Amino acid sequence: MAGIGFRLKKYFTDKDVWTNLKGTVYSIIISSGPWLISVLSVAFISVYASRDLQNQDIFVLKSIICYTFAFSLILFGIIEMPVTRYLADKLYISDQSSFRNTYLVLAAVFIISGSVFGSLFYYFFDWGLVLKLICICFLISVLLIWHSMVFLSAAKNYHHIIGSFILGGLSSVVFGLVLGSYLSLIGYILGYTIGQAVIALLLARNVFSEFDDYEYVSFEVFSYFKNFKILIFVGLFYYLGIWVDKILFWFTSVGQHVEGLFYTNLHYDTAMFLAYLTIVPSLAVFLVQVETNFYVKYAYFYRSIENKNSLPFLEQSVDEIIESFRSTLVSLIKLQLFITIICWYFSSSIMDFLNLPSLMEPIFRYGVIGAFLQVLFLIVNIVLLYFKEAKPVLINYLFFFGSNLIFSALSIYGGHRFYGLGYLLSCLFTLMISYGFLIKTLKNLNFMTFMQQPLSNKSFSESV
Amino acid sequence: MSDVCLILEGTYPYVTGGVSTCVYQLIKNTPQINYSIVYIGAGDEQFKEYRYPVPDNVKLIKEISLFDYDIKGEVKNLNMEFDNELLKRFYRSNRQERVKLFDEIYENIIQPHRKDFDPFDILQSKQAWDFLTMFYQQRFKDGDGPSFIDYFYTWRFTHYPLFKILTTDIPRAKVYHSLCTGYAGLLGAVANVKYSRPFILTEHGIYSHEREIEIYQADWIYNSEDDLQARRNLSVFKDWWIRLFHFMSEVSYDKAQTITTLFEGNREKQIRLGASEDKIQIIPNGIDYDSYAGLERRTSRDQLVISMVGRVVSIKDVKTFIKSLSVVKKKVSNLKVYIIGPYDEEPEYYDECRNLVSFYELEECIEFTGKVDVKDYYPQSDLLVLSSISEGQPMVILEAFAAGVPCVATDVGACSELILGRLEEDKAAGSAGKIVPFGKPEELGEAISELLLDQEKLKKMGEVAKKRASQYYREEKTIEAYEKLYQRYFSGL
Repeated sequence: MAGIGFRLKKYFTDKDVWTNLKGTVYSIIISSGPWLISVLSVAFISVYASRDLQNQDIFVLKSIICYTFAFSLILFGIIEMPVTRYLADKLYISDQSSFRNTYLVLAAVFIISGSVFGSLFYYFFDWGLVLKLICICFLISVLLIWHSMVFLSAAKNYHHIIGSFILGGLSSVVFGLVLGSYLSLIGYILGYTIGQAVIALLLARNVFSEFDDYEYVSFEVFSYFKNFKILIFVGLFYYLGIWVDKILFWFTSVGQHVEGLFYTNLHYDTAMFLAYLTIVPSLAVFLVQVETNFYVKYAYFYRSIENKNSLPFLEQSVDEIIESFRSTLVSLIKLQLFITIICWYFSSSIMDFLNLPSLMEPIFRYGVIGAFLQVLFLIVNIVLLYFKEAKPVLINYLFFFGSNLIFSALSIYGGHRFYGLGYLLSCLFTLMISYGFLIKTLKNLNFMTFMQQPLSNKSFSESV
Repeated sequence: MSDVCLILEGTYPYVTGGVSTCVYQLIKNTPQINYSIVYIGAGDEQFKEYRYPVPDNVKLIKEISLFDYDIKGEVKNLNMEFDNELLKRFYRSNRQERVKLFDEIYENIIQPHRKDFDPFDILQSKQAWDFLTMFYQQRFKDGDGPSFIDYFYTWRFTHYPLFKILTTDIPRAKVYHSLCTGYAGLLGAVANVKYSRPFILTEHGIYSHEREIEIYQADWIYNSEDDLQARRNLSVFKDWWIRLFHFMSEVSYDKAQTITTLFEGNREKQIRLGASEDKIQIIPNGIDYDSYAGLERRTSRDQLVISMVGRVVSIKDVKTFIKSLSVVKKKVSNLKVYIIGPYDEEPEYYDECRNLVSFYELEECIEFTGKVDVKDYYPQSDLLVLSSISEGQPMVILEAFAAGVPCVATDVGACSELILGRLEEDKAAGSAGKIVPFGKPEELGEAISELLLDQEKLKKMGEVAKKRASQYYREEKTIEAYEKLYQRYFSGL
C-alpha cells in the first residue's frame, strides 16, 4: 500500500470534521474496499434474493460467491507479495515503464489460470454451460480486481478507484435484483458477475490511465518469483490461514452439502464475515498511520545511514521507529478495543437487528476478538515485511495456518459452544510469536541492516 | 613441493613493471629451481592476459582475488566466543605489541577454527558486530563519532581481504619469497607460521610508504562537505587504512628470515618501519650489461648531447630539468637535448613542459622523442640527467653507465649510491657523475654545465660508470645473490 496513505494524510491534518470524515471514508474504502463491497453486496443480495429464490438456490448463490472469493484470494496470495515487491523496487528507482505490460502479462496469467481452475471445479457440477461460463467469468473478474488493486496501491487518482468500487457494487446489486427477478438464480449470478466485471474493467482503466504504455513486453516480474520464493508462500499461507477454518466448517461433519462440490455451514462463515466487518476501521487507521507516522521514521532511519551519521544517532533513529510503532499500535488498540467491546457486548442485539439466528452469537463473539487479534498480527507482519524479514513472516503465517487448522478442528470436536474459539486462539498465539519476532527485529535493526548487506565483487570494485 | 614459492602482488605475470621484470629474469635464469607462484590480485585477472612468458620451471600459479566475494548477507551463528580482551588489546596496540598479538590472534582465533567453519563466518557473526559497535562506542565516547556506514564498510573492506589472506591455502614449498610487504608479505608470514619454512621478503619500493601517499592523495575513502567534522572523519578512515598497511609490513618484517632491498635509502626506511637491522641485505637490481656495453660511442665535439630518459610525468620533474637548461644554454652553445620517453601519460603536464620550452626559447635544442629505443641515443649522449623527485633504483642510470655515459641526478632513491658508490671500495673508485638536490634548477644547471665543459672529467666519469656497472650491477650478480640466498635456506632445512 505504498504511497496512498501518504496522500490521504492531508485529510487528517485539518481540524475540519467534514474533511476528516471524507478522509476516513477514503481510507476505509482503500484499505478494505474490495472486501467491504463484496460482503455488503452479498449481504444485500442474499436478503433480497430470499424473496425470489428457494432456500437451496440461496445456498448455491452464497456458495458460488464465497468459494469464488476464497479460491481467488488464495490463488492471488501466491502472486501478491512478489509482485508487490517488484512494483516497490521499480517505484523506488522511479521506473514505471514496465508497469502496464507487467499488468497485462499477469492479467493474462490470471485469466488463463482462472479459466482452467474454474473449468476443472465446475466440471463436477450438473449445471448448464451458460451458468458455468458465468461462474468462470465471475472468478476471473474477482481475480482481476485483486490484481488491479496491487498496481493501484500506489495510484494517484484514488478517487477513481473509490468510484469504481461504488459503481461496480451498485451494478452488482441493481443487475442482480433486476435479472434475478426474471431469471432467478442464474439472473442473480449474472447480475452480480456483471457488477464485479464492471469493477474489474474500471480498475483496469485506472491502471491504464495511471501507467503509460512504453511498447515493450517485460517479463522481469517473473524473476521475482524465482528470487523471492519465500514471498510466494507468505501470501499463500496468509490467505490459506484466513480460510482454513471456514473450509473446515464447510467440509466436516458440521457442514452441509449444497450441490456438487459445494458444502456450507449454516452459521460459522456468516458470523465470521460479520466479525471481520468490525476490524475495518482499524485497517483504515493503520493505513494512514503507517504511512504517515511509521513510514516517516522508517525512511528517516535509512536516510540517516546513507547520510553518514554516527552510531548513537542511528540507535536513536531506531528508538524513534520503535516509539512510533508503539504509539500507532496503542492508538489502534484503543480504537479497536472500543469497537470490539461494543460489538461483543451488544452481540445479541446485533443478531436480532440483522435477523440472524442466535446460534451465530457465540461464534460472532469469538470472531470479533479473533479478528481484533488478527488485525494486530497482520500489522505486525506488515511491519516485519517493511524490514524485509520475510522468513519470520512466513513462519508466523505457517503457524497461523497450522494452528487455525488444528484449533478449529478441535473446536468442532468440542462442540457448538467452542465454535470460533479455535480461530481466536490461533490468532492470539500467532500475534504472540509475530510480536516476538518484531521485537527481536527492531532490537537488532542496526545489526541486521548492516550485516545482512551482501558483499560482492561489485561492492568492492565500487569502493576500492 | 616446489623449491620456492614466489608471492606476488599485482605484478608478474599479469602486470608489467620493474618488479615483474626482475621476477621474470630470476625465474628464467634459474631453470634448476622449481617455482610455484601465488598471485594476489584485485579480482579482475580473468580479463587479463599474461604479459610475460611463463618458463617451464614454474610448476603452479595460484591466484587469489582480494576483492572477489559473493557473500549473501546471511548472519552466521558461531558456537564460540571471541577473546574480546585480546582483540581489544590488538586494535589498540602500538607497533611492537601488535606483531606479538597477531601471533596470538592467529593461533587462537583464525587457525584452530578453520576446520569447524568458514572463517568468513566470523565476519558475518553477531559477535563481530557486537565487538565492532562496542569498539566504536568506546573509541568515540562524546557521541560525535564518525559516519557509521563508513566505519562499517571500512571494517569490511579492510578485514575481508585480510581474512582471505589469513585463511587461504598456500602451496607447500621449501622457501617462501614475497616481492613486497602488504598482502603478499602477510601471506608469506602466514606460510612461515603455518609450515615453519623460511620466508624471504624483498621490497623494491617501500610498500607502506607508497600506500600512505596514495591514501593521503585519494578522496575515495570518505568525502563529503568541506566541514571540520567531515575532515576529521576522513582522517579516521584514512588512518585506519594506513594502520592496516603498516601492520601488514610489520608482520612481514617480523616473520621474514631475510629482508632484501635495492639500496641503502630503502634499508633505512625499513629499519624506521620496524624491520630489524641485521636481517636486511641489499641486493641491487642488475642490467643486461653486455648489450649496453657493446654500444659504440659516437659523441662529437660539435654538439654536446644531454639525454633524459623517463616518462614525461610530474614525478620525474621534467620542468626543473627544462628550467636548468636555460642556465646551461648560457654557457654551452652547441647543445642538444633529448627527452626520451612516452609523453601521453599526463598530457597536461606534457603541455606545460612544452610551454616552458617555448618560454625559455629552447625549441631549437630540445627534442621530445616519445617512446623509442634508448640504445639509439646512448652512444651519442655525453651526459644523462635525471631530475626526479622520487626514484627507486633507476635502471636507466645503470644502462647509461654500461654504455659509458655519466649521469647528473637528484639526490633521491638509489641515485647517489649509483653515482658516488655504495660500498667503501666502490666509492674509492670515484664518481660517475654528480648529485644535486631535487627541485633546484639553478644547481642542476650548474652541475650539468660544469661537466659538459670539462670533457676530460666527463670521459673519466664515463669510465668509472662503465666499470661500476660491470662490477656491481650485472643481472647475473643479482640472480646469483638470490640463488645463494635460496641455497642457504634449502641447505638449512
